[in-house]
Amino acid sequence: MTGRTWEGAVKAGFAGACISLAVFFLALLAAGASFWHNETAWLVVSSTTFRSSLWLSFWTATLATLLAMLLGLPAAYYLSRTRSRGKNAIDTLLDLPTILSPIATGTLLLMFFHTYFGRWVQSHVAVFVYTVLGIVLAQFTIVVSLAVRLLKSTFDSIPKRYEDLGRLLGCGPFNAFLRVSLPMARPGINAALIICWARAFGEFGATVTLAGAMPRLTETVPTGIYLRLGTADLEGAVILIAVLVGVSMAVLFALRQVSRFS
Amino acid sequence: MIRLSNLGVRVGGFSVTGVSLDIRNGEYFVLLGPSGAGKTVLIETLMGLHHVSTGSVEIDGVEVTELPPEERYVAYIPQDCCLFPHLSVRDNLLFGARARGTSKLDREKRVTETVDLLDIRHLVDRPDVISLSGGERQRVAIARALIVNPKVLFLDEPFSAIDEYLKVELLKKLLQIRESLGVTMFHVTHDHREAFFLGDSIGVMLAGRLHQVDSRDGLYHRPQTIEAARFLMTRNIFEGIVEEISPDGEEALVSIGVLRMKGHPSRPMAVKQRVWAGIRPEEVKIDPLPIDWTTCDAGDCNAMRGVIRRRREQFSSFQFEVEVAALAPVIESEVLKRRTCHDELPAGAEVKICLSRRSLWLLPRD
Repeated sequence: MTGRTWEGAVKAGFAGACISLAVFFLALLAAGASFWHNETAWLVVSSTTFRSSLWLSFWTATLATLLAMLLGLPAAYYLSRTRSRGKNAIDTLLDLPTILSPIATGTLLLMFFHTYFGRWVQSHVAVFVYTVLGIVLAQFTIVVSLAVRLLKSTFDSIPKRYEDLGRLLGCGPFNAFLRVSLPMARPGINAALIICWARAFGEFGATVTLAGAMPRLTETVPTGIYLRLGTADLEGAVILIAVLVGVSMAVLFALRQVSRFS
Repeated sequence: MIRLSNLGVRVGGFSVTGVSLDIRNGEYFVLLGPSGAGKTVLIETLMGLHHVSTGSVEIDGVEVTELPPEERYVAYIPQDCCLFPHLSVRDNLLFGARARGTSKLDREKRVTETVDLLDIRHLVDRPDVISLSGGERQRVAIARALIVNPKVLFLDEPFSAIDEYLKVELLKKLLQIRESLGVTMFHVTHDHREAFFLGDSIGVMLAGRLHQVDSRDGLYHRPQTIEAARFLMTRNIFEGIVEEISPDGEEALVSIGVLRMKGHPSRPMAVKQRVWAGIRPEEVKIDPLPIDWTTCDAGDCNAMRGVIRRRREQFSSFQFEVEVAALAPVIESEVLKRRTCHDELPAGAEVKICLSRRSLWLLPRD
């Protein structure tokens, strides 16, 4: 085989892998589309259950993301800047929910509320098991580690010298963070917000384990799909899947916009 | 005045040790050394970015060893300028004045004065710093540092990424700033020419230790350690033994292999002491045959006959390697190109070389 033919074969191999994947995902979408019925779609979309699950998914994901960013931002900044010995251990621990199966994370949360301290929280602070607050906590637990990972990469990419310079020009440590690091990290923070929100919106495993899947009470869009599959309502499930696909596409579009203007 | 007393710092696995130094107010001090010598660690320590492990730092009569960076009232120009990419040129310039709470009137006055000094008035209204060229970025970075009216301006290899012809203009500008504002400058570089152009005094730092602090002349002609001599590109360095020393100690006769030469001891030494003898290639005169011994200053010259073994042409000079005797070391000479007669000196030609006694330094071999 000549050099040029071999080069052509290698390129064709890479392109083949790429096209196969694209065809695979298109086939999945087409399979979903084959279950689509306009009448069912209208019935599902106009139902109060659907509207309540969509609204619940929206606001719980938003609240969980904001809480994750509120705690994740300082934690990520600390991990990015510190050289302390325990850094790697903390870093690994915070990564756990990203790697662990969401059902396992949800089960650990459930077990926590069966401990002495967990029962005290349930009776004196707020009830999380099988409630809407449980949805927020489950989503928060899953996305906070993702937020820390994404934000830490952002802060890692900003040389510490900029902050040093800010301090030499008269800022204290917190002021240097506010006036230098935070604005420089803005594109990364925006991207992390979008990705975390999308992850929280689509969260299922931990949510269903901690908060259950009670229609109109703790039913989010992903748990709605699960409930409809349980009653063999494939036409109903596909409508909710379409909602998730639409949200995912919007998120990918938003991410591209954020990276283009950063 | 900046006063460092036995300063030591450890960053990661690297240490800077035993640095003692006095820099006068308004002085232009240059710290010269190769990459990895600890220059940046030292200035970062002076700016308060690393904890000192031994010794103390005093700036303008105030002990600042334990003070945070923002309380030292110094400014910094790093190698890559570090202009804040999220701010406009004006906001970059005003950053320090705003952080220090300077009144709006004073801020604007300082901006006007500084941009005029640095000829960057046309850049002030640029909405971002991305579009600035390398030289413009450096000027804006210098202006940003000067607007806060610092006690000391620290510069860390500020022009290493700038084209040579632009660099000369910026170096002149730095001297003009020092003259106009009287600010003390602490400039770090690995570039000998930059150091000699700027420095009222120059410190040579090697492997975390300050080897010598001296005037341009002292550093050029009288290196105090063999490491400093090698770094300052004295390529003719020979091992020798002291045979005689003049009564005033200003001159010593040394044997270098089969050669005997007179030189100037950089430090006190004794007869029979083993020494390093060195002379810069620029200080080795070379003349074609027929030898005219009368052109030699009989009182100052170690003159000898030799043969050119190698000849290299550089941008502005010729380099010759001359063999003077079978067992003697090869001596290098570097001659500016304007002496056109050197065009006619090919390898193999017989020549006369002359090593000035005042330029041949002698250092004890410890």
